[in-house]
Formats: sequence, C-alpha cells, structure tokens
Amino acid sequence: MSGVDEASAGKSRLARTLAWSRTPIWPTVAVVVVLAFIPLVWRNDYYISLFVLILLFAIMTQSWNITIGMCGIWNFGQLAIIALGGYATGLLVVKLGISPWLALLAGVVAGGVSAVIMVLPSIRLRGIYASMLTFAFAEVVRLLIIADSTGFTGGPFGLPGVTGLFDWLSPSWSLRAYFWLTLVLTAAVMLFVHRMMNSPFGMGLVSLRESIRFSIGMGINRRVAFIMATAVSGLIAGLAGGLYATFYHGITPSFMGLGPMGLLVIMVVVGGLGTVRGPIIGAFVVTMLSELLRDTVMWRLVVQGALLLIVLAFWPAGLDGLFERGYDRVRAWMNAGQDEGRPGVPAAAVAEGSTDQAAGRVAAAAVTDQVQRADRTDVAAAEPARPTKKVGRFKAWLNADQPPKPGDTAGGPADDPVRRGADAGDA
Amino acid sequence: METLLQAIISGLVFGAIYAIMTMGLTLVYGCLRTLNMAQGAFGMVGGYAAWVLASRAGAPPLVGLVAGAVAAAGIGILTHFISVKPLVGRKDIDFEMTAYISTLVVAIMLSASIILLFGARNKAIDPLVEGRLQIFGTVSVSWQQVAVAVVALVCLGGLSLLLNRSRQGLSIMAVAQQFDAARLMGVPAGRVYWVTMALAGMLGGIAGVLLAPLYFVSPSAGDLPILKGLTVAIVAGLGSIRGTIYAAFIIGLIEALVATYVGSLWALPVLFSLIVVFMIVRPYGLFGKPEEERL
Repeated sequence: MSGVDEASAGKSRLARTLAWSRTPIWPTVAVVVVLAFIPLVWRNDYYISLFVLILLFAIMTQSWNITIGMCGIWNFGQLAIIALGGYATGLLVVKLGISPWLALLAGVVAGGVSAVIMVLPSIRLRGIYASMLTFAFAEVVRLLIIADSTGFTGGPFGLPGVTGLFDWLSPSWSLRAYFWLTLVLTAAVMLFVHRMMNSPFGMGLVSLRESIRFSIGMGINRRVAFIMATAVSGLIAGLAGGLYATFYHGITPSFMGLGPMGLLVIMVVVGGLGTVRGPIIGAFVVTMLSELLRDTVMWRLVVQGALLLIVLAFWPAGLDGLFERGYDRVRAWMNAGQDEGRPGVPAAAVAEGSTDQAAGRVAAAAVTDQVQRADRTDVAAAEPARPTKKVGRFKAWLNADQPPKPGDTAGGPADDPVRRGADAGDA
Repeated sequence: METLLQAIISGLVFGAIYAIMTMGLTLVYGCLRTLNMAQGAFGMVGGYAAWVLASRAGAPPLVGLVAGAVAAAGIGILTHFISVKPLVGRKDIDFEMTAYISTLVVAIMLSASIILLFGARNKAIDPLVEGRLQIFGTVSVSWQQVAVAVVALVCLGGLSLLLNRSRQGLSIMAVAQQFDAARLMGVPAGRVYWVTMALAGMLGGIAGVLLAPLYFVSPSAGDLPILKGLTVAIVAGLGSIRGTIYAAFIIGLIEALVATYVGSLWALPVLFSLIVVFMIVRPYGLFGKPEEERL
C-alpha cells in the first residue's frame, strides 16, 4: 500500500509523522458494489427494508459516535438533532411542497445548525453537566413538539404525509432505490469520518478526549475543534433524520425520548465507542437481534440491555475492538517469526507490517500515551515545543521502513507535530 | 392569592419527593462518581412492590411503603453488581461515561422486565391516607400530601442521622470526601459502594411509593422522576447534600408555579429552558465546586 507516500507528498511534516493516510477509497467501493447486488438477488422486500433501517441506524450512530466517542463531548441530545433534521425535511415537504431532495438538503443544514446551537453552551461544562444540558435540550425539543397543538408539527401524533424521495417508482423499486442510496451514503459517511479521524484535526480531537488540559497546553483550540466536530456530527445527523422522515413518510416525537436513546446507546457501545466501524457493527448486531426476537417483542430490550452489559464487562472496546484483537492475533500468528525484535513497537503492530492502518493506530497509541504521560505531570512541565522521546522513537521506526523523503529536515519549534495539529484544527 | 398558596403547597410537597429521590443520586455520585440513571427505575420498582402487596395481599399502605423501600434497595444492590462493579477500577474505559450508559441501560431493562411481569397497563394505587385538610377558604391540603411531607422529612432526618452518626454512614461520607484516605483508614470501599447503592435504592423506592398515588404505577413511571432528579442534582451541584435539598424545593416551587399560571403542559419545557440558562450562568450548580475535575 503506497498510500502513505502518495498522501504525504505534499503534506506537512506532521502528516508524515503521524502517518496521516488518506483512507483508500477502493476497498469501500468494492464492498458497496458487492452489497448493492443484495436487493437484486434476494427479492424479499421485508429484509430489504430491514437493511435500509440498519443503514439508517448506522448513519445515526456514526453521527453520535463522532461527538460522544471520538471527541468525548457528553452529548446525550443527538436524537433531537436527528429528529430536527427529520422535521425540517418533513415540514418543508408537507407545508411548502418543495422537492424532497431539496428538503433533505435543508434537513442536513438544520441538523448541523441545531447541533452547534445545542453544544455551544455545553462546551465549557464538565462531563455530566454537559450531558444534562444536552439531554435537557433534547427533552425541550421533544416536549415542545408534543405540546404543540397548533397542528404545525402534528403534535404527539407526528407529521404524516412526507413524500418519499423515490415516489415516482413502484413501491418495491422505491425500496431498492432507498437501499442503494442509503448504502452509498453510509459508505460515504464512514469514509469521511475515517479520513477525518486520521487527519491532524482528528488527532487533535482524540487528544482532547484523552486530556483536555494537555491539549490546550499544546495549543489546540478546544472551542473551535469541538464546534467543528459537532457541526460535522450534526450535518450527518440531519442527513439521517431527513432520510428517515422521507423513508417512513413521516416522523413522530416518539422517535425521541429515553427508550430510543437507549437503543442508540446500545448500538454505539456494542459496536465500539469511538471507532469508525463500530456503528455499522452495532447497528447490524442490535437490529438483527431485534429481528430474531420479533415474536417476543418485550424481551428485546432486556436482551439488548444484557448484551450491552456483557460487552461492557468483557470487551469495553466493543465488538469492533474484539474483532480487531482477533484479527491482530491471527496476523501475529501467521507472521510469527518475522519482524521480531523491533524496539518500542507492539507485537501486534509489527505483525500488521507497515500498512497504513497499523501505522495510524500506532500513531494514535503514541499520541494517547504521550498525552497520558504528560497529564500526570504538571502542564507547565510538559514541553510544547519539542517532540517527546516517544514520538522520536516512533518516527525512527517509521522511517526505518521507508527511504527518507526530500524536505524531511529537522524542524524548529514551528514544525512541532502537535502544534501543527492545533493549527490544522483551528483552520 | 389562594391559587398562589395552593401552588406553593403543592410545590413544597413535590419538592420533598424530589429531595429524597435526588438524595439517592447525590449519595451515589458523591461516593461512586456514577450518575445513576436507574434511580427513577428504582422508584418504579418500589411502586410496583407496593401495588403488588396492596392488590394481591391487601396489605395496608404503610406496609407497601416499607416493601417498596426494601424491594428497591435490593434492585439497587443488583444494579451495582451487574452494571457498576464490573467497571470500577478499569483503566481502559472512561468510567463516568460508561457507568452512566450502563445504568441507563439497566433502567431500560428494568422497565422492560416490569412490562414482561405485569403488563404495560397503568395501575392505580391507594393513597397512604384519604381525605383533605381544609386550611382556610378554598385552600386545602390532602392528607396524602401531608403524609408525603412527613415521610420525606423523616427520611431526610434519618439519613442525616445515619450519615453523621453511624459507622456505616460515616464511612460513606469518608469515601465520598477522600477515597484514598478513606481506604488508608481501613474503610472497606467495596462494601461502602453497595451499601450506598442500597441506600439510594431505598430512597428511590420510598419516593416511588409516595409518587404512585399521585400519578399511576406504570413501567415508564421512572422516566419523569429521573429527569426531575437530574435537574435537581445539576442545579444543586453534583454530590452536594445541602444543595440537593435547597434545589429540590426551588425546582418543585418553580414547577408548581409554572403549572398553575402557564399550564401544566409547559411546566417541563419552561423548567428545562431555565436550567439551560442557569447552567450557562453557573456551570457547576448552586453548591458544586468550580473545578474542572474533583477526583
């Protein structure tokens, strides 16, 4: 994989240091193309609509995962953002009669704007207080919609009669069109998030999650970084909400509240909090579990809750972390005997060879480790202007695999990786 | 004038219920650094225990109160062992957020199990005492409200005695104040944890039984109380016992006044909007400490 070389050709020193890789697009495209044949081969409309639901859930959970998992913002109002996106889309279609596609776009914007409005006051709050503020925001939205008796939003009975995106097709082809659309959008969202998290901006977010004090000491602008991440999350949430409203031809306030929030939380955590693939895995596993328990509906929540408790107790990194560990172990077993004895590099990463992902993961681990070390000491004692020993060693390991590149000269303080990350985050 | 008095009385009564409800949240947060989202579900379980005793065995309401407290305490201990204890001391997770999520899920599981056991229908339950007490004019208090206030005061008094006088209570306070120092003094932190959860369950159960005649006993009966409890806890500043009592009455009064003068449908939206403004002005609550991290 030559992604590192290509991507870093015009990139900053930081990009190379952290192995900032442009996520390769082709594997995802291949998966999407293969999955796109499902509705042609498997002609069961019920299961296709189930898959659409899974994909919608995957987009929703991913949007939530960005704030709660990757940035560590205690955002428990995400459902309100999704619902606001859905209501914006639905109201525009129903009241103004504009094309659902345009309305979907408006829903995306509405999601982004409302997410920023919601998170703005909670940025300066600490953990649980922020969760309460966002939760209160969501409850206000929900209760206002329920209390609305003017008929504008439809009140507790919801907003019916939203035109679908593909109503000019026959029902079963419309369903398939929805499947393909959501499939492509899900893949696009996942690729985008993966790229974002592997960019200096994403690294800045991770370091903010690990230690706010250290990151601020390093010059990362917390406010700007959080607002940008929230806006991205809100845009994706608005997209999911708009798709939901048009797919089900309506949206009701029962979409929000404690129960649905619990369902999404279970998906996020079971899949893997803060991982890119986690939301897909979580949405798939949890929705399929509900499907298996279709005949005993009341057992659903009990079983799903038990699943979450088990995952939390045994694999806190979620199923994604579990799969990854299993994969690493298999790779390590297959590569046993090679690549041994490299100092300072975890065995699993060695086994992965020098693929982009492995390098990125080690880079993330290095950042995390550095952050945690520095957090233990006084902030003033942490030297912001010089890469620490750990990063230096990591760089040495990175460069051992590759020929030195032109322009790869030792930089002054301005070239410091983490500071650059801050600049990138601010831009 | 008389409407105002009536509103104030009902505000004080609800404030008393919120106070014992939230005291459970406060104790658990102070001791375990866990925001126990299952606190409302404890109340719901307490209400069901009282209802089962009253309707199946014909037990008097006071027995129902005790049974509700005991059942909820048991659920509290269970919650601790299945959702909080596996997370304590883990290095690979963010404890506060994970415990928040796992207790939230326990709350959802509890209400789902209640639906499995007793169905989704609302159940009516008799008040502790019947009748109303005329004060003057049209202002009156139902004896149930008086009973609620009395029970709440007894609970708060007993809790204060327990926390300040008994060995067990002192060890809870010690763990809440300084975890390391408490352990060095030989306080068994593991036992303190589950005792605190049992205590929180008991308080939640009592609040649930007291609330039951005012609303109904239903599987979602815990949702509203936990929202109110969270509001109170946040306004008070998490972990502050004194603040909890003040904040509970303030919020009870605001809610009753809004419900009387604006409309009961608007009570919660107005309350939450106020909270949003309040938290922007004072991000750590009335009696919280303005530190970024307390631990």
